[in-house]
Amino acid sequence: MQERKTHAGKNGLILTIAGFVVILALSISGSGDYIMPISFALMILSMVPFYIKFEKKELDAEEIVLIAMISALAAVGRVPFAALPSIQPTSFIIIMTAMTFGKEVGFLAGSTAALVSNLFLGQGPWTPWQMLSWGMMGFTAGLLKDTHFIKSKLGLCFFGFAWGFLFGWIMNLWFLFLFQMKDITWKVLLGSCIASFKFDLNHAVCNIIFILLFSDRFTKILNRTKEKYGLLK
Amino acid sequence: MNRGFASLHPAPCFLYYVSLVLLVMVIYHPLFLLLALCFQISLNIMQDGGKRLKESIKFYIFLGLLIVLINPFISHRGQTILFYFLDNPVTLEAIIYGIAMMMSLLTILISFVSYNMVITPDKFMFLFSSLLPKTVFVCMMAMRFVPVLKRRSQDIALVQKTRGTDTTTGSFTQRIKNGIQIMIILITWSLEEAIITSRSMRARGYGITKYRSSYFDYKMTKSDWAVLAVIIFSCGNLFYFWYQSIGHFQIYPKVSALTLDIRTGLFLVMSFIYLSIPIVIEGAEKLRWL
Repeated sequence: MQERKTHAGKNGLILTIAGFVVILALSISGSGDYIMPISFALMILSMVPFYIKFEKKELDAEEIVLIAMISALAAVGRVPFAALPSIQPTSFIIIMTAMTFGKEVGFLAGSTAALVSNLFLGQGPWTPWQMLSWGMMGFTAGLLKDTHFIKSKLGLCFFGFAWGFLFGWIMNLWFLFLFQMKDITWKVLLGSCIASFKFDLNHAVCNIIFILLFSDRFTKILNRTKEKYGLLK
Repeated sequence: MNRGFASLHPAPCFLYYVSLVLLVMVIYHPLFLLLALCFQISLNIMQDGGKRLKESIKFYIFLGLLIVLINPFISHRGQTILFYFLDNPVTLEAIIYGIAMMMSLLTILISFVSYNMVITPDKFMFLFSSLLPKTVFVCMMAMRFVPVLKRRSQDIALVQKTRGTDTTTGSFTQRIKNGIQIMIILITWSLEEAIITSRSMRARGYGITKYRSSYFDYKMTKSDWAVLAVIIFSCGNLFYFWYQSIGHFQIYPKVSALTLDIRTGLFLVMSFIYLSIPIVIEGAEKLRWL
């Protein structure tokens, strides 16, 4: 039974990669007419392996509830700061979670937080893009978690700052794809990044503030739970 | 609450919205887009009197107008030059493309307003529960935690206020620090509670059986199958037409005239059938209750 399960996961992965390659080839050979559907397909396919892996993994009740709880915390992270309109700790929570529990949990917590908050605020074509952006934020934080770079406060600050902008730029790209601009030139892309600069800077500075004021205590809380109950080893 | 289109099984509804967004993105025929836009607006009005649409329509129209206004000035493709603006040609094709994209964009955004009324989170979870059971389980649980955490966060804030930890007064840094204090309490409390919840789940036997059952009260009835068949037939045909370039409306490099031959006529009839499916279902329900 165990054998068959891993096979199913492998087949799913191979199918996903094959689909990815086919669509990528189509998009290169085509005239760029269908940039929106192609980008959608590529983006959703790129998330599939993470979910296949999660589905195939043997997980305890503790680990499942923990992932759900952290996603919910990230989704409602704004509530304690309701009096401070421009402060939002969602990205910070996702980065710190990934630093403690690793890249897979980071990806799942990020993408689930995006999906869940959109289930409350209303879904739209932006949902998968947010899922991917926050998921990748968690994934990259988890990937780097054992490097000296991110273990230093300065490196972590830089990481949070960079993702504040990256997140905004990925969402800009979505916006341009939605417009189906036939002529997405560097100039247009740059223009969109300038237009969103204020919001991206806000996001980036928020991450730095939280990392400076809060990252040690947050890691302590997560590590305590992790060690006390022996979770996600 | 569930009536009309929303009373159908979630699968045909979901398929309809997904195929609609895809078709609107690949077919540029202006009549198809105009029809799609008008029908989606009327669907919204039939579903809740356009209440939800009103909340966001202004922003959507702003986005639409933005693309119509901007596109001719950044895109200089096309052969029919109308005039020159700052030495850059403004072409008829770019204007028409902008209008087509506006209709496509508005249709997508407006269809999501009605999508959110029809595919409620519950139905969304049902659709994916057989494909991704664990993921859906996590989402369900996270959804349940969201209102709990909101309430809890407000409770903590009230208690902390009596101790002088307040996010509404003081300097900016102080307010952030106070917010973080509330956040720390919220996180510690909630993580501990997550463990208690999972211990309780384990005590009740979670993880003993290999396959988990789930309860959802959705069954495909005869009418659901019929609607599903019509959706698959009409949207399949439309994709075939698109693949065969029937009803193809060329914009770049030179805009083509709107012609009506027998094949384009067939394309338009099929479009009409496809786009009117939810309207007909809503209308039939309304008529029955007249």
